[in-house]
Amino acid sequence: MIKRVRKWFWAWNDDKEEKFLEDMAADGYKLKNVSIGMYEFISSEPEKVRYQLDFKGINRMSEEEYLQIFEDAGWECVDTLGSWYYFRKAYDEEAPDISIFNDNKSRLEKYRRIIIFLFITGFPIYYQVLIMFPNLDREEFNYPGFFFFFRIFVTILVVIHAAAMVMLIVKIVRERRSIKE
Amino acid sequence: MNGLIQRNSPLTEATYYILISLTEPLHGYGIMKKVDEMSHGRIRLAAGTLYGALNTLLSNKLIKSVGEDEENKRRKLYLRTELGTELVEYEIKRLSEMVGNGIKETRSVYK
Repeated sequence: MIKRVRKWFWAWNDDKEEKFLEDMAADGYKLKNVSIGMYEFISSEPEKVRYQLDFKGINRMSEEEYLQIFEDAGWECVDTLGSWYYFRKAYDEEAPDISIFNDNKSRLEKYRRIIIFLFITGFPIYYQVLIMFPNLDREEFNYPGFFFFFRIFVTILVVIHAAAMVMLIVKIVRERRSIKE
Repeated sequence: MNGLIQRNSPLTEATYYILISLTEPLHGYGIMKKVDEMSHGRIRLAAGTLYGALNTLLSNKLIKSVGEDEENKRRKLYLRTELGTELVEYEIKRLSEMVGNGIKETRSVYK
């Protein structure tokens, strides 16, 4: 039996998302796939599972090699969502809180990869809102009504995008401050 | 001594072990096994940390890619560069001083 759950997590709440998936597994729902704002589970025996989310980002290492490293470390890749990778491992009593990171420096490095990714992908929409829109003459368009809504849509996107970058930077700064290594 | 070494020091324990293990060409899995052996099982390199470290070390030219494993082509091999060795030597000096001072000071206090 397949169970669909609608839920939304922001990138800086990935630890809450992991916890949510672990709780679902404990209730007998094994993650099958992930899409934007939607999780699909299969009914299974309730089990203790460890979930970890990683963000690969933009760099030279191929996806094949990336997944091989995780597989070699015993992680099963359940599904991907853009550059997000959902990893799963059976619960081990000797390492109940096993993580895909050894230290906080590399854990925070993940959020830095997200910010760089957002920065690169965000450029086209920022260009539209800040440079293209103010310089456009509305009379030139065949469908000014459509363009009006399109402009509102893209502007909302830019606001969310900018807020996400700010939140991620805040998260990194805050955690850095609270960590004493 | 160049700025790159200053910027990368101090290395985290994981990155230090990854860097010293790459005296011979190794892939990710090989690095995990070697570090596990060297530290007598104390350090289990985590996949995300290893991935992040390999990327950072590559972009700082402290290691280089030297082909792939014959049995499994998805496993790429890495080797430490001269710059990487310079960084390791700098770290060894720094850490030896740290350990030396620790021994000297605590022994004189608690004797």
